[in-house]
Amino acid sequence: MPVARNSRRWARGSAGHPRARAQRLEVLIGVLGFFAVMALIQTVVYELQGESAAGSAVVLAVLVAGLVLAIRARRRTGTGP
Amino acid sequence: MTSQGGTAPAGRRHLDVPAVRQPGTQWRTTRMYLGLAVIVIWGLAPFYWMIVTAFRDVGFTFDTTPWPTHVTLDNFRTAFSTDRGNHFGRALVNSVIIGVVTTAVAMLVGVFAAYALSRLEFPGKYLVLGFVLGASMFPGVALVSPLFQLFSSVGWLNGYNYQALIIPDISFALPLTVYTLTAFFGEMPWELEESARIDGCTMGQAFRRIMLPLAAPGLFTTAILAFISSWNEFLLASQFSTANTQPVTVAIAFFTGSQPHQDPYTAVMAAGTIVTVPLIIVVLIFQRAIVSGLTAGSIKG
Repeated sequence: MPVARNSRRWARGSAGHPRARAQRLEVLIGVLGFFAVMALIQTVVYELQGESAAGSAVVLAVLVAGLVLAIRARRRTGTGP
Repeated sequence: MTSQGGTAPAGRRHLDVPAVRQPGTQWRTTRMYLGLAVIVIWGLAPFYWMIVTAFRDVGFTFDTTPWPTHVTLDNFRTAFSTDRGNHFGRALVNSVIIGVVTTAVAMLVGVFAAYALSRLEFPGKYLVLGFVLGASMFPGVALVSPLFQLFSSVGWLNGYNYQALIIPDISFALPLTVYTLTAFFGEMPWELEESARIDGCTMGQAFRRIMLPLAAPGLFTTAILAFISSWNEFLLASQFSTANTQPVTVAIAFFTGSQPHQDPYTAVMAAGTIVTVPLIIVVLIFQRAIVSGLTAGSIKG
């Protein structure tokens, strides 16, 4: 059993390392952040123009929820900023 | 003595044995080449048909003979002719201007951004990379109406305003440039830069004289990718170009034939050949540099 666990760890390589995981999560936060900013701009523009902003607000909420989850996961990795 | 000459060392014994072909190897090789042939034919068939139709007489446009028949150069003359309001020659020049400027600006900005992202350690470095990746994923069609409103209000949608085509193209080429070059610079030996610093170079000199020449294959590959993305851009160009700034993609789409309701397929194919073949030739000539540039940033560890 220990052999199997070691080989699995070896197969994962550096991908399972906390620093590598933190880097991947930072990239994800960046992607989600970019689309969240775009959705925020769209929602604000719709609101200011007096049009229905429900659709873009829902998209924004989903993106912000994903962003919060990604930031929490990034903090749990325990690596530096 | 006898025993030494009679037996081979255990480690080299396998050299004396003739290589035995594994059963099924030949079939596996055949399958591999068959698969490769299918992929190559699948990829090249549209280009082959475009070239065959480009050289075919206009009276035989819909002839389905798979090899060239009724060969003529008239379609190329028609493509460049301005009798029917087509300006293919000018569109080619416009495409070259737009492609070269876009590539130059994207490379100039992208090289410094990628160098900083791969060389410097700062908080949120991967966040910036994620932002760049997000920008490259952004759908171009979402930009059409806001950019149209903006450009029409600043008066860029008339005359020779190439910037209405170049600026959106840069916004699409830049993330590609930054991301590809960051991966490439990440694989470079930084000890060389440190050695140059010890020998008295400033950071800028070490970058310009040592790192930049070493990064030439990656830079060249990225420049070609940026140029191709700008050269093939149609969506934004179809909305923001004027009669004077029309690139080839738009000019070909709006080709007019001799009859009002007849599409000039053969002239379109001839124009397509003129547009595509130079790119293929450039890529084939610099194939080695492109492949080494693309694979250089792909291995981590």
